[in-house]
Amino acid sequence: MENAIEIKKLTKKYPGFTLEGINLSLPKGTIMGFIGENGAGKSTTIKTMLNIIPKNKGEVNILGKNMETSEKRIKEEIGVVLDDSFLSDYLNLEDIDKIMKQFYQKWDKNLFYTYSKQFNLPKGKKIKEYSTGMKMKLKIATALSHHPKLLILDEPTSGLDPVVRNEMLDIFRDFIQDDEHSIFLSSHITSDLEHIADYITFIHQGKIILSKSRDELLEQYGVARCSQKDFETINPSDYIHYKKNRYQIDILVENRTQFKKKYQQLCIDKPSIEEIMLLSIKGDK
Amino acid sequence: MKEIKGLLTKDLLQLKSYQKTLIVFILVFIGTAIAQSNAKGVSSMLIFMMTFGLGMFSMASFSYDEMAKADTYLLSMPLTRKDMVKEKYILSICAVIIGAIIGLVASLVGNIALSYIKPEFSGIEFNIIETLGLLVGSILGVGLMQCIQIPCVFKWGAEKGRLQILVIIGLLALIIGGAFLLIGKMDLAISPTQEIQNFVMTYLPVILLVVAVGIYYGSYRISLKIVKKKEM
Repeated sequence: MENAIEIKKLTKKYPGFTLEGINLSLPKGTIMGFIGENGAGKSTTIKTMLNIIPKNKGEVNILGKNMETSEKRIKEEIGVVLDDSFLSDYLNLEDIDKIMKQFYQKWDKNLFYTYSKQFNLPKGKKIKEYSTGMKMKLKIATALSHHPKLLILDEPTSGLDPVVRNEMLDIFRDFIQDDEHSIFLSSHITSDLEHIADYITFIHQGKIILSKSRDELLEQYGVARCSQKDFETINPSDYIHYKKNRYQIDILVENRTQFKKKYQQLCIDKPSIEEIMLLSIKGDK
Repeated sequence: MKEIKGLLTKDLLQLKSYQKTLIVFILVFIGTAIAQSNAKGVSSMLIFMMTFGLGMFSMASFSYDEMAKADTYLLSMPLTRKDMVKEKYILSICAVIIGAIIGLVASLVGNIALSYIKPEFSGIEFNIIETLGLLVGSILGVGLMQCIQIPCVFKWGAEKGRLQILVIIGLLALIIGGAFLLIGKMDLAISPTQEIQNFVMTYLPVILLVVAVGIYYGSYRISLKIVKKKEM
């Protein structure tokens, strides 16, 4: 399967933080959820892959083209939403249309106004008068209006209420209906990704600690809950991480069925992405 | 070229909110100049103030970008860092030239108004050579300030950049003033020969143009170097 994004050994060094040898692949036509706690390196990964921040090492290929040699062509075909930056708050919808049509060859004014109408974005108001949800919708409408093949979204649902978040997820679902379209979406709201992502990638302290298909994670992984006494009977090679709570120990296992067969007396549940993330990050080995 | 046009459109639309302030600024200066000056005073004050005002006005585009962290967003689009730097210089140069033209027009309007309000000054001749000299001087003076200011703003941001430029201009004034003081104390008689003086006077516009282009180019290269290394 052709990849929409292919990153090899991407490295960015800062004093006190290093994004270390990031490898990831997003197959075309799919959605990848990129998760991790605040400060894990999600935004740095996105900005480095887009060459907004100069990298120290590594290779980035997007839509089959190399970022070093075809940056402009790649950026014509992607739509980007960044959590903390956009155009000035003193502009309005018409201003944005006038600016964007100069930047993108395929800028579609009608599509932009269709999305704006669909998202109930007021035409005459300046962005500074928009609510947080409206601002995010505007960023997404802007990212979608030049017919991109790939959306790269940094925390597009953070700070939004559940209703608006669901609206956003519906937009992403619509976008992905086209087999040529793909989405790379970073978030720390794991429940959103559980609904739409095909692949989940965890980043922790600048390193990828896990990158798998959502089905594999949810169908194969398991969280066993047991007492200290039971825990001592479990072979350490049978689990990935564990976390001691007040009354029980939670154990993250890679193969729920096999574990169940071996330790029939233990209760094992299907985990949520959040549980996998918490145990992977906060748990002991 | 479309990228530069897009960036200019962005900056001009952002600066649109300053439109009213700018008109008030122009009117206040025309009024003040008429009230306080004679004909020559009106010309010199208006031309310099308009050039300076518009020049500084264009620098506000940096603040808008900084507030919205627009540079980061712009780099996610099909634009290069070079486009971004180039556009800021085009905007600044255009602002200075437009400011000088507005100043010239305002000074003509001011002179006509002055001849009605203060008829005692109506006999003073409007010296075109002097006015043009003032125009070129204002453009170059404000241009030089921008050439120092733009790399500072790219390096330290709009707020800190303003402080840095004050420090740099202060240092320059200190160095130049010190040099003159030193020359005065050393009692050196520097008097260029007539030939040199004639050469300078004949080719002054060309010399000024070459110097201006050189300073702008140097400043642009420094800014580009800063922006290429900058973590957005």
